[in-house]
Amino acid sequence: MDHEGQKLAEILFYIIICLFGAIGWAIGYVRQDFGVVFQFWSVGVVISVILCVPDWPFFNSHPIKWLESVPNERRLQASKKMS
Amino acid sequence: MHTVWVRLNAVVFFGLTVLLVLSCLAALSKLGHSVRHRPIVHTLQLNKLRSLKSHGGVDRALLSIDLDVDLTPAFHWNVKQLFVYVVAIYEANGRSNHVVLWDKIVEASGDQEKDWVIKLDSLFVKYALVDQGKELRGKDITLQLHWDHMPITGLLYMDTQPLAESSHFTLPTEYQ
Repeated sequence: MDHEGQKLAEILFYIIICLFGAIGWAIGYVRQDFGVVFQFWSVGVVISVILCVPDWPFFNSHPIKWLESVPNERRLQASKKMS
Repeated sequence: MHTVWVRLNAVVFFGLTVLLVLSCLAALSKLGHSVRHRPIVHTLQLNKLRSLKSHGGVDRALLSIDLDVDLTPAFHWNVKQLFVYVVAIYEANGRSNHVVLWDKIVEASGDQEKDWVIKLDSLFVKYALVDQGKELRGKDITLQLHWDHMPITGLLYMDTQPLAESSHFTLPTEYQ
């Protein structure tokens, strides 16, 4: 996963878990049932694991730009001596 | 966030942290509920005294009680169960004695009509009224209902039926 993808994955699961947790809590408060909070929270965690843990292709759309290879000085000297 | 394992760890433990926060918020949301909403004790009184004898060197009374209590007001979303128990109070040698005669665990997941309301007549005591000496004869016994709120998240909170509303009876002066 490239760096942009990692940032995206982290923000995604923060939002998903907090959103499901908050909505679950509100519904649970109205129904006076903490089981509801737990169910919404579990769904949020499962969705986050599926969406953010595997290395999906959309997390790799900003591949790292590596620098051009720099010729190795010692190998150059060695090949010059041999040729 | 560079490997599957790091990401899995991050998601799971962030999830658990959020769950902890949600649990604490739920507990805070019900602060003060238990003081304002008490169970309603309709009846807690002696039904019949079966015997008062000296048993193994100590005084022991066996009796049955009538109990009618509505626990519904005490339940809210952060209550896991209520531990309800009947206490017999009497004075002996200048000291107050509290003896538990009967107890029950009432779970929040139980049926609201059948489990949250306790209506039992001629309920024979689970535990005998036993003194640690020979001080039961002629004593005035007060029956008081106690209950513990056992939360899903938070501290245990214990409360009682007001003494002013508790019934009492007197044990005979002779063994029978």
